[in-house]
Amino acid sequence: MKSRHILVALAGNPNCGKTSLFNSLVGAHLKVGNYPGVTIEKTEGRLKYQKYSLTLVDLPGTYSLSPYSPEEIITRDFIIKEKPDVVLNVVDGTNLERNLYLTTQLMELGANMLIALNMYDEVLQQGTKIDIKQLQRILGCHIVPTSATRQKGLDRLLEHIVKIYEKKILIAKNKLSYDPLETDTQKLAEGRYAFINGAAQETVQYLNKPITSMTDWVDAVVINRALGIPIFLLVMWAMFQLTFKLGEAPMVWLDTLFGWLSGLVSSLLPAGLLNSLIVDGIIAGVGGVLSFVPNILLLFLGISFLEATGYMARAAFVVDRLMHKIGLHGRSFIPMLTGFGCSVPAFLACRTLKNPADRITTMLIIPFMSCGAKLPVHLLLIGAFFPAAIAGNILFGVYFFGIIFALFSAFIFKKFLFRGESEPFVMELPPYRLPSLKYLLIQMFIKAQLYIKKAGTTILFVSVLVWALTTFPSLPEHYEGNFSPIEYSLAGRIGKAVEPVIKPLGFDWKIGIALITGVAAKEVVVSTLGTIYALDEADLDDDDALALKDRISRDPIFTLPTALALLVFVLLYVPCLAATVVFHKEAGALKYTLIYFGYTCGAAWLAAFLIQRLSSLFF
Amino acid sequence: MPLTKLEPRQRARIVAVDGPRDIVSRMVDMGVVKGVTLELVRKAPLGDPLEIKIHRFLLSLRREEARAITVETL
Repeated sequence: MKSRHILVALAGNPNCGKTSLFNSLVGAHLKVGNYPGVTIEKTEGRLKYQKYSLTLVDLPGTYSLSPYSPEEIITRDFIIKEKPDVVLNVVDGTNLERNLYLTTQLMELGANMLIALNMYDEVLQQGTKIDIKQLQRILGCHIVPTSATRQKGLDRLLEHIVKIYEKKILIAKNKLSYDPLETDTQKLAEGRYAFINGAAQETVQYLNKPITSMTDWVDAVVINRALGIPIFLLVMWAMFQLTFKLGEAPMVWLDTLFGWLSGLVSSLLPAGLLNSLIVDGIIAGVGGVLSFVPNILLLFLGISFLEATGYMARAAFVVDRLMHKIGLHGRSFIPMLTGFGCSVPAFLACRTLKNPADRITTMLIIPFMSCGAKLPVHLLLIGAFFPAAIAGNILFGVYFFGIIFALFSAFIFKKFLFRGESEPFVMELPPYRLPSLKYLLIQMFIKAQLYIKKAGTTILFVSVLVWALTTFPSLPEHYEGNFSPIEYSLAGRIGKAVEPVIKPLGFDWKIGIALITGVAAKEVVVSTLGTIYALDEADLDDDDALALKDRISRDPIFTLPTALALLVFVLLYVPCLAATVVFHKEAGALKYTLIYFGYTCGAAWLAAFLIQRLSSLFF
Repeated sequence: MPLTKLEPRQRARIVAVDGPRDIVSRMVDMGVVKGVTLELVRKAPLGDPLEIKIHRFLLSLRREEARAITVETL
């Protein structure tokens, strides 16, 4: 009996609309994970069609199958070892020749191929005529025109997949006009391109006069000699302004919601340990972190937007000269920028850097790209000490300082620790495209899910732990008046023990505790301060609804120089446990993890110290 | 002559691609092979890298990599 399960692999160039097509086919039924052993994203989705259940695997986007990068190896291995029933080769119709290069390699492997001639709406718009029937004959497989963003051709695609599986469509193999076993790679590539050019000349008719495309127009402005860098800075600046300004209102709503929830629990439960655990431990901790979700969503949305529109590659193009000067690759810029969202995917994105020295150096400086989880800490401190009118500028300044520090560190690392050749900068500048809202929302949703999961599990655990540390041992009655309960608690003692180390920075034991728990996850710095200040002032203050930022700004220890030093310390010191674990796995040697830990913490201390001293002169 | 000698908007045909293996193989995978025509579109704001149009798409490469490509102007 035949199985009713069809395994379909999607292969295609980067920017060919493969992921959009995948999303259109499977909708929200997707599962994101990693390939075993390596950490490149593996997206799988299932759908039912007719009497079959289909599993779609979105393989990483590659230009070629030569075993050159991990993405290429994964794609190749998947096709050879998993033997998918159908290999759906997604081809960007507006860029046929280059896209068909991968197609020739899939033909060489003898895959059961079906071609989705994607972006077909754009092909027609440009006035290009493609003789699909003839192209089918030349390539020996079926071609279905599609437009992933407009949901066109999807049914026909599924129909064809089933027909190939049922062997109602036969794939003609051995259509290649060159010797695929040629060992000289350059000759082989020339053979492939000769075959492709022959096919294209026979089947594709472009409009005679070359039209200036939208991409040409936009690029003439966006990466032009004079405006390229100002526009780059403006885009980065705008992204953070948006994160800050647009995220403000929903943040207030969430704060209000959690405040209301605390009040509700307090009124329902009798005062005591359980009440304190829920209100001061769980709601204060997790609520404090979740209220920053709007900001983080907006930041992820911004990054996904820049990636999907095609600007991200331009940004790398514009800054490569500078990156190259400090010994890095313009492509390092992309993991660095991803680092603004979260260090975890950023470390993983470093896999696209082939050169080990480039890779390790980039990984080591990613912690200085202020991640989404540090944003709550920045927002709290900036909100407490700076007027709303300049808050956006200060936030931009913090991010900018991180970038400068990262570049400086890269220079040091490349110069003294990891000398070596840099990686080539051979990169496509994809045409500008307006991504569909659905695509952006799915990308954002995937990332938000990871963040909220983290808040729900790690951070819940840490919040309860911190609550316990700050509650026990409880203050004996005969000490009342001499100590505050938090000072007497375990956390207070730990904080006091580290106080001498951080005293020169202007920090007290409360900040000490927050920084220690913050190693578990950066948002926890905020939730710990929330828990400490909530407990610490519960007896003194009748106004329980007082926001954390007001409590902090009332504390005499928090002078402006201290707040600045703390901003810088949190910006630079070691990333969260999850990121550190990923770093260790990716770097592959304890040596690197030790450098990473020592350098981030040392740099944070030194920079915070200098900022504290310098700003004390002025404020 | 090397690709780097081209002026923006100038078109040329590739005569040879010869240089370090990893650079060449990456360029070859992107369609930079003998006989193909290309156009130097522009230089980056800081003068490096370069942007070329080849096979109807845009490709950027550094000056030092572009030196591996020998072209003849059209």
